[in-house]
Amino acid sequence: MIARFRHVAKWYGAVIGLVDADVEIGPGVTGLLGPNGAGKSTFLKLLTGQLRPSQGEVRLLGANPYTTAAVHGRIGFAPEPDAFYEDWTGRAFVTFLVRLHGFGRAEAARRADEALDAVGLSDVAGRKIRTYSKGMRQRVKIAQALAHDPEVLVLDEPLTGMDPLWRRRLMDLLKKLGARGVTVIVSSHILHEVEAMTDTFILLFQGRVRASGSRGEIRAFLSDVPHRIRVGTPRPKDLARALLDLPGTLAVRLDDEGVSVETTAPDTLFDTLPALVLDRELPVTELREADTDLDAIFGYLVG
Amino acid sequence: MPVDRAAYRAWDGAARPSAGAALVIAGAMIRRILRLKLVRWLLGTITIGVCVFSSVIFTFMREGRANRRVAEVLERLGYEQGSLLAWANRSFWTWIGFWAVLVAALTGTRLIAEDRRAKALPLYFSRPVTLLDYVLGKALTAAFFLAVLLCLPPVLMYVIDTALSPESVAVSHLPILGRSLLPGLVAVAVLGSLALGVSALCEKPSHAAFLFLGLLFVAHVMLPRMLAEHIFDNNDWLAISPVHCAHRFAIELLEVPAQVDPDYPGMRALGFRWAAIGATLWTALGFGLLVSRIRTVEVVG
Repeated sequence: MIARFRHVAKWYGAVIGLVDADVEIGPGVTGLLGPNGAGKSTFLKLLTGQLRPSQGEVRLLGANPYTTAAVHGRIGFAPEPDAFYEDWTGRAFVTFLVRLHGFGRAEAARRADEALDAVGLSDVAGRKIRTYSKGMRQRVKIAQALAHDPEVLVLDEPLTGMDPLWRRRLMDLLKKLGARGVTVIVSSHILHEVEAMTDTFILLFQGRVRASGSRGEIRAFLSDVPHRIRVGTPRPKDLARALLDLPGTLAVRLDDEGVSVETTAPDTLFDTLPALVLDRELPVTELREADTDLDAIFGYLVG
Repeated sequence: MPVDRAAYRAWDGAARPSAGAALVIAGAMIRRILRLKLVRWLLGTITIGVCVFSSVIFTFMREGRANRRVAEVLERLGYEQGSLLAWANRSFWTWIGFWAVLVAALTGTRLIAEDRRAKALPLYFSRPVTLLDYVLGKALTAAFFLAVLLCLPPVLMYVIDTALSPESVAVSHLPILGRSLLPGLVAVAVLGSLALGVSALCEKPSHAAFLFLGLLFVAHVMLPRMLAEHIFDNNDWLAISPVHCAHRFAIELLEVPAQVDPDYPGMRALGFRWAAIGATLWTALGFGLLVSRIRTVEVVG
């Protein structure tokens, strides 16, 4: 495990930031999802050692990130707010931050140039940051997080304000880094953005970790919520009649192209369906779980 | 993408000396503040002015080749026979206090306030930068500008004195140089720590500068006067002012008592003690504010 939260809570006076978070984060890309105010930034600040947990324990790369400054040399962090010296150029800004990792001036400048190139800012690296657009600012933040080649990359809402082209490119970049073995943790309140990058999530709502794991694991975990399964067929009435007899079936909705079944026993349905359609000679054109997308799962989790 | 792990691995974060990050921070901040024309102009003008003043003094007031008219003017200004270098340094300390406050307000007060406004603290503390690195880096930056203003001129005066002296005085005047630098170091510590402490309280550099000036007004004008005149009825208390304490050190250390006053009562009787108490008090207050506040700022930020 790269990171571990063990019953972590964080509160700011009377305000609760995070409650009893108990999760593990492994290599690859992990999406941290939740609406605004869910506790994503608090989670990431605890992870990167900027906050001390009020309760519980955070471990990152085997150490306590709050007390072990050396761990910070192995992580890259891009905060959500614009955190810049506006009168500096992009190159000077990134170089300065890379130098704080202990690199010499020349090496830091080389790495800064490489990172700025990776996020498409080499042409404007010599311009002052105050002249940058919102999307360019986001990319500078990502460049400073990448430039020292971290093992763990923590990005707080990195795609906000970015144009669609660069949004896509950065998603690809993060996926590539994840595939290379870098642990990438990306927070967002936009589900489809994260869904496009990874299949592993931590879902936060009102300061609580509501679920973590892959989409399938989280959906399976929601055993008390009926599953919706879509079966496509040109004879929906016949199929609906057959499905209603199956144990666990709660409701069947028909349309011209098939049926949507709500069931508490999806495994039974998947096991029985082949024999059933063969027996009744029902043509099936489509079979899928209709509520394993992140939107639906999130909807179930937060009510 | 940067994939060269060899260079990265060459440095082990755990083994890195703390001063490294502090020096990087200080270097970057110094370069940044030096872009301010007013700061450059102030430091340049005062340094050049001191050089010109010293050159004139050390050329015309040398025993044996003193220009009588210049000597008369200087005598009216308070020059007394004794060490020219010590006198020049005492004169320097009579007027530099105001400018030191101004430079501290222009440079030191912006250092942390700007980081808070720019929300840059997470960028530092998510790196292998400790609180000590950060505070040390900012303190070195504030100290640099104050030291250029308060410690460089005595060094330049010493160099000019030595260069223009007909006989070799480099060694014999070294103690005077040491005594000239000490008040500067005291002022650097006091004003630098107070400026940083105030800077940690504010989110806008301009607010921090005004708060600093307000604090100094209270601490320099009101508090010592109240203590001296209304509470203890003892003027020595005036020396606890953050501006006066360094000045008092200069007077105490650079006097030539045997030549000026055979009944010179000694440092302690003249308020050296109060100056030391003042310097310690204000420096502790500044650093106390800074350290306690920056930890909170980190959490809130």
